[in-house]
Amino acid sequence: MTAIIDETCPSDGAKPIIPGLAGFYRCAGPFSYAFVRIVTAALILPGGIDKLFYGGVYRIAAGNIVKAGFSPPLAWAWAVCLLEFFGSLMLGAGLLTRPVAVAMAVEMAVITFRIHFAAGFFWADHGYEFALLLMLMCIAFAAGGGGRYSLDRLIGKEF
Amino acid sequence: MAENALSTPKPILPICAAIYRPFAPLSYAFMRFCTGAIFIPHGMQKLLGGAAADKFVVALGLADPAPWAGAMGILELAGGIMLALGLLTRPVALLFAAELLAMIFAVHSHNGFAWSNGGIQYPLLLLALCLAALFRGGGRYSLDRLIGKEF
Repeated sequence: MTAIIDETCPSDGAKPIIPGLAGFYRCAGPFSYAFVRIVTAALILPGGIDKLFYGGVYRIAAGNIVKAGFSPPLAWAWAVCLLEFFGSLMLGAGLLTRPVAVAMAVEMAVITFRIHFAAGFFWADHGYEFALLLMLMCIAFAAGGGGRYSLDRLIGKEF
Repeated sequence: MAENALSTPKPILPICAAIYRPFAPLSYAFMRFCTGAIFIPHGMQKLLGGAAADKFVVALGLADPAPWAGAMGILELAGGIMLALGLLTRPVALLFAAELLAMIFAVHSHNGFAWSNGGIQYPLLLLALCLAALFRGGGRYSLDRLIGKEF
């Protein structure tokens, strides 16, 4: 039974061509996975804040939720709202990273394919690329888990 | 596998380990690949459609945007492919980070936060991913690693 490799671990060889940079890479490299996880969560959080505190939940219940074909709209709107608010806080902290990431990947897939797909790829035309990239990042977090710098790792148990 | 001493804790549902074992090591490479791949359509748009094809290049308000759009198009097409494959990962990521910073300050910061208004939300995600690639390099599954030399 082999262990699950920690891709957030930096000790995977590769001496740089400019040896002077090795120290920087050794320090910064291990943070890159957590950095992406935290930034992704921080970019989703304002959506959750808007839905929870600024009436956004009723706006999407009357708009995008209906457009995506989900019923009853208000229940789904609350699910999206709570996922974006609490889910992004948990994703940023790396708490229950994998379950949260799977839920968010599903949400982003619906946004990609049911809301923005018709507008094409480019974000300048309200296309799907941003939602698609968020979906793909959530899939990466679902695969990689919390990683080295996460509450999951601190607690020592993770899904 | 011997090159990596650390491993993640056992999952709460042991059966999940069978899924995580093949996929967890791919997570960083997958991020890098997706980041590179998402730039490719932008590069093709700028190279095939010219400066006018990209609203955000138009928004730069340059007197002669064509050479800039050409340079950005080449970076996004060739650099996107290289980042996806993990070839010269760090230099390419550095160029992308510079491009994104310039676009964020020159264009997107005037549009607020929300991506749907052309705000900073989406370019910030791309910037974070490029910085992560700059810190981390090609990683375990990359042409850089295959070649055995990297910046």
